[in-house]
Amino acid sequence: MQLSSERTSLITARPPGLVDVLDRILDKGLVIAGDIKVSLANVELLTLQIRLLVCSIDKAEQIGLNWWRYDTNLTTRAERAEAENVELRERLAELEREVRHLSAAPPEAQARGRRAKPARQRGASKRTSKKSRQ
Amino acid sequence: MKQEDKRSDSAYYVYCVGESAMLEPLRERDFPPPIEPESDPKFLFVNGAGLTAVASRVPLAVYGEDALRARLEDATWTAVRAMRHERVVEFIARETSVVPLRFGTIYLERSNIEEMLDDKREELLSIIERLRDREEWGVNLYCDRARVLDAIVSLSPRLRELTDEAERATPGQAYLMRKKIEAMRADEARTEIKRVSGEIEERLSRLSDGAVRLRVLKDEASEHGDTVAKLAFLVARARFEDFRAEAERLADEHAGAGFRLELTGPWPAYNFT
Repeated sequence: MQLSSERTSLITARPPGLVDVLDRILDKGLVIAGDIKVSLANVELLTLQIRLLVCSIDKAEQIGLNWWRYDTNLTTRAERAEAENVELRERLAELEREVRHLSAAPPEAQARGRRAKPARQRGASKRTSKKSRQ
Repeated sequence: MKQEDKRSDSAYYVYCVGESAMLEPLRERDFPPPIEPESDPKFLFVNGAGLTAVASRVPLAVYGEDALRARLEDATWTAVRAMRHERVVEFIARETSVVPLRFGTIYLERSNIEEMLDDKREELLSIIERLRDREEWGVNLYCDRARVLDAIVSLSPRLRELTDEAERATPGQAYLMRKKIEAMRADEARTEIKRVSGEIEERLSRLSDGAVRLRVLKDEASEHGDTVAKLAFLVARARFEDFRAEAERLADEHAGAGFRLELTGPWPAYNFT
């Protein structure tokens, strides 16, 4: 079929996603009763909670918050992401200030330039409506 | 070493067990971070009866029974630790066959781990033997339900017939017929999904030394559509290329009908202990 354009349909996840990790290590692996009783009886609930979390992380991934998948030191990377976030927010605020400053300064030319298109369209439609009325 | 044992404010978190002779050379390697990198970054190799348990120290204030119960309820906290646990075991499993332990195997004394190794020697050795030169591979099956339903209508003559009839029927009849068609399609979609996952399991089983179906939670969605099956296979390293090729074939065969196959791994053999 035409689907051959997709070449291979097999997806290979490397490194594995968090859900696949949790599927394994939270309730698989050899159970040896250590000295500390770990009640993973509520694993189902816990897994569900984490699924919800992963769900939002998957969304976060689209904006580049995918550190947990690719880094070996999760905390460090999370902190780095946090720092990066702060930096980005600062730069954004700075840019906003600059934009406000610019749009406030020589108003006429700039503002008109920016709104050029809609203004012309509106004008054009007015003209045509006038014409049609005539 | 002795001093270590006297510290009662910490416990031993155990990741996995392997043969001492195979694990010894890994001592000098750069491991991924342990489960609590801040409290103690060192890995400990606890030997007993020719076996070695890989462990690291964790603070009892966090990993004691009550404290841990409370922490586990924090999904983010648990997810991060789960990832770390997995990375350590995966790192070791790449080098030699090990028995991965379940998340949260914790001992208070080093000597208790030694005792455990001695007690469980037979069982542990037989698992190690079973896993030798093999790896776990995961196969997830996703489906785009809308596409599966479409594919079903074009495949089923009975459904096509009904759809045609509904078009010629009076509005009232057509409504009832459409309801019936919907129910039939959903039914056939379920059957089709079952058939496809069964086929995948069967064909990949032939190329592996074990197959397990993992639990799929209700309404488990992913970026690839609904998750309909999760399988785990124990595959000999020597046969992996064949296994992979078969998985590719299966993915191609079912792609047109709205199915996607995902291969994950290699995993430590969590599902085959």
